[in-house]
Amino acid sequence: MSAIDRVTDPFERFTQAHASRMASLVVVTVLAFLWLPIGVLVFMSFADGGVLSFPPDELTLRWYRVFLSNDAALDAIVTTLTISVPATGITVALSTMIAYAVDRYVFPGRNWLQLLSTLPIIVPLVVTGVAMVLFFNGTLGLPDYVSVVIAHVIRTIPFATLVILPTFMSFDRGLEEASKDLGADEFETFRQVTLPNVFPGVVAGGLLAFTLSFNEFVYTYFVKGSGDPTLPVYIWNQIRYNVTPEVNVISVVFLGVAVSMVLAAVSLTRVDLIARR
Amino acid sequence: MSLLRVRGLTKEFGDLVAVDDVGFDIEDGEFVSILGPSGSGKSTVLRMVAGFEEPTDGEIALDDVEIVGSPPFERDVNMVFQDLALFPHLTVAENIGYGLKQSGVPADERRERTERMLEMVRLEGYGDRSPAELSGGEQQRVALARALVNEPALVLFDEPLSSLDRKLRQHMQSELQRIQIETDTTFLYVTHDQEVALAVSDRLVVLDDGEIQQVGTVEELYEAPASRFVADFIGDVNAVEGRVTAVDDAEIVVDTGDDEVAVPRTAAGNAAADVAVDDAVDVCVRPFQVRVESAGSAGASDSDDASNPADADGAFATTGVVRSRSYQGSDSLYGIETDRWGRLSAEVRSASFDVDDRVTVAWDAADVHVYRRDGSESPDTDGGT
Repeated sequence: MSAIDRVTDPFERFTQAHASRMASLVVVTVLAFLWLPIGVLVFMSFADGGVLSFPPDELTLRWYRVFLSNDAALDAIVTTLTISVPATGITVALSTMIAYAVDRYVFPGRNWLQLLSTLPIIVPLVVTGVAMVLFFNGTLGLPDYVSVVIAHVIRTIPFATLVILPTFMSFDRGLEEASKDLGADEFETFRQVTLPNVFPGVVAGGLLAFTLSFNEFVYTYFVKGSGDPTLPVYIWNQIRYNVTPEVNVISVVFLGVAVSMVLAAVSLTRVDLIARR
Repeated sequence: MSLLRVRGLTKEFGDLVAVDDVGFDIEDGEFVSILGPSGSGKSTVLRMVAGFEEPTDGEIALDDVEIVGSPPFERDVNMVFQDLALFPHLTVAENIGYGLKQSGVPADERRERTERMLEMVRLEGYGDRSPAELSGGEQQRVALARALVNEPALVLFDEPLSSLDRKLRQHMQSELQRIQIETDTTFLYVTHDQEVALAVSDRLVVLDDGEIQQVGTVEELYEAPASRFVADFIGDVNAVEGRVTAVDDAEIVVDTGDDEVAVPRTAAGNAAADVAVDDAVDVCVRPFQVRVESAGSAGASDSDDASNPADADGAFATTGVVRSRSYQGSDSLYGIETDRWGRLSAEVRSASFDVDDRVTVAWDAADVHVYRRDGSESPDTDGGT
């Protein structure tokens, strides 16, 4: 037995004996740090107090009423939707085309297309944000609204493509041949066989894109300028000037949107079926 | 008039000639198999008949109507795919009814015909299930029903049974035959598995390297293979190298070492054998036609020198040592290292030998096939010999 073995041995034995308990501890800690603040936030959205304090004196829906009667906040939601909905549509169309092309065809620059479309994930948001302000608003002189939609599309395309691509890759093109063999022409084959099989993935990509766009802050903050704020920017402004419990309520709205979108995506793609395969 | 007439069918992929001047006919109600090793072009032929590949050259006529150039969805053929290609987003019944729906058959009739098909393939009550819930054999049946329900002139099979285990495959083979007879449909089946092809087909088209080697009934191919390749591919064969020393209408005299044997032209397939004096030839014999006797037994002592071919009574003979034995139920397959011709295999029913036994090996000249060795490739060089 070497010297190192003697030193590491007790540690080795301890980890062997308690491996699963240690793993559980790590998981619980991570989950706690992730979810406890959010749990507190949700709880606090029902608190009566005028400031962020814990524990609250009384539970109430007062701040939800305040939120719903706050035109500025509701305007922010509308502003967000006028950006997120078209951005999502454009993203889904582009991502589907990218996925289709990458899956079906071998063409020059195929790998570059794949790399470039996922690049925005890696480049720091602030860098891209500044770059977009300079280019869209400065060089091109685009209106704020157009710039911000383009920014959202750029932000969401990598994620949507990553979700949509696997559905194309796992789609068996033999099914299209079978369909044609059974008498369906090209269009009917696409409508009755291709689309139903890739549709869940496309919808899931769209839901993800929408969630990201709805929550998007950094690009929006840079590109949007001084116009009507989106909901995330509105929260930012609120927190900067005066913190009210209304912010908690808006955060819960975000949480609700995100969770329901993810649930919808999961049920549509039937991830459980894919996992079982 | 044949149901399917293929003439001069050729398909080139760049420089590669996948299918080379292939021609054959299929009569109405026949069960024909295209048999060939992988890469022989058999699937390409099938895909051209189905319409998934455009021939470089040649004609395909179905019911006397040229179909080259028409898209798959306009051809009166349906295919059972190798991986079955059942639609995962549809139920079993919707899968089967898919073709009927495309041709505008009303829902009522569709349901009724789908029901009848489920009965035909013995899957009553499975209509509402998803294909993923079925076993491999059941999925095969659904794929078959989906092709048959449209009552096509011709059903194509692209090795659909290859994924099944042996027992299930044999069961599905007999099911295929039953259904083919019951529905009175013409089947064209592509496979690399000679066992499947022999079991199910009325006639075989043997393909190698994109070219037709032989077309005929199972018996014709087995008893009178047109080439060493066919002999090797349809069943096992022993090949002995020789040289033709004389040839006429009645017999071919072959020198297989230091003696000569006259092979009568009456032997199946040899009537047309295209050989001339001095040609290098393969003399082929099936393992079950090889006689093996113990070298020390009375039977062997009839011959003065058992290591010489007994040309007097029109037989090939030599001595050898048993090197391997495999039990096959009703008989045993022996690998024998012969003194003259290297290793041969023999299928023996009654007698029993042990490894290292010295034996005499003989077979009748009337049982052999003689093929010219003009570089005609054998499918696997160590097969049988």
